[in-house]
Amino acid sequence: MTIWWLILILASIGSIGIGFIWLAVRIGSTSKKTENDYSAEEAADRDVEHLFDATFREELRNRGRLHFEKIIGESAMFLQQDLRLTTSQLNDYMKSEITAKLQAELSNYEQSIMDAKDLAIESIQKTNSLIDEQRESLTEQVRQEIIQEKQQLILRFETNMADIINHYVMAAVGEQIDLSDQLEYILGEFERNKDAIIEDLNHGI
Amino acid sequence: MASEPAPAQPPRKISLPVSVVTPSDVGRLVHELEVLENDLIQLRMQKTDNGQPKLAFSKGLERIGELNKFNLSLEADRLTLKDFLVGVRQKAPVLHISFNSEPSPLFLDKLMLWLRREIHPLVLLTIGLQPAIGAGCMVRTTNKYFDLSMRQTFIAKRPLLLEQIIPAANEVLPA
Repeated sequence: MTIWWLILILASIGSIGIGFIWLAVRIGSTSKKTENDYSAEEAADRDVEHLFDATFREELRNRGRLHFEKIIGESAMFLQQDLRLTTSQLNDYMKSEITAKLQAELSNYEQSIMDAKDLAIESIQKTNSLIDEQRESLTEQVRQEIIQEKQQLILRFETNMADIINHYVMAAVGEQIDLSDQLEYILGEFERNKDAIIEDLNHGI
Repeated sequence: MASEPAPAQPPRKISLPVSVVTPSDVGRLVHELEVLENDLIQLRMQKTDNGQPKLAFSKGLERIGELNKFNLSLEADRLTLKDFLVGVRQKAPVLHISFNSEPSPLFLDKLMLWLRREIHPLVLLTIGLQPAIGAGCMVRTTNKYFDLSMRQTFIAKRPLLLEQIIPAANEVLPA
């Protein structure tokens, strides 16, 4: 579209120029014809010399100048109108082109932003899923360790339960239990181990 | 007229009173008898017309004399008793028992009574202290070690303890 507008403008300018050239040739041929006919009409001319004196020629020259100026003025006006029209069209064209370019660039920019946003969102989602997986893994690991620790504690408690309970009983009621109170228990224990003790004493003796 | 020799009497069965607990107690009695003999020898050398000197015995010696019907004024009985005590000190079985506190004399009397009736009539004890025992005692014989403490009872009755503890723990700490 730009080229067509440019060709149109150039054609306008060219036609205006051709108009000027044609006008100059026309004026020149008129004056030349006067000179060519001079030999034939030389006598008449000399006779009518006094009719076309300097004043009349000056007047004709002034009239021609005025006419030429008028034509020049009209042509300039047309040219100015064409230039204004062309300028406004150029402005519109430039506006539309720039707008289209800007819109295209903006849309590209928006698309880039959207792509970057999608990438960022995807990356964040991946990171979130990774964090969730790690959290679940960590939670499971901690749970397993807690269970293991609990089992170890229970095992340790069961292993040392007798000591723990003995310690607790003695700390709680140890001062209230006199040896005299324990005599029955001690004799019972002796009774249970009597044979082993006698056997060992007999070996010793 | 020469008197006939006395018929051979069976050896007397001598027993220890429950107040004689440790080898040191036996040693003290032996030592007392030795001192007594020495004193009697001295008294005989300084003998006057006052007749037989009056002898004084410790309560432990009196008790063992009464228990075994010894007349400690007689030299033969004293010698018999001394020989017996020396034999006891050398050969009697000794148990080492550890308690968490110092046992009272009454407790020891009851314990010795049972031990001499059930284990050995001449058994002696050495008493030790182990506050960590808690209730019960530890017994060490010549070759063995017997844990008669409550801790050992708890270990032996561990299934019963677990049976009692686990439901209680489940009530307090639900799964």
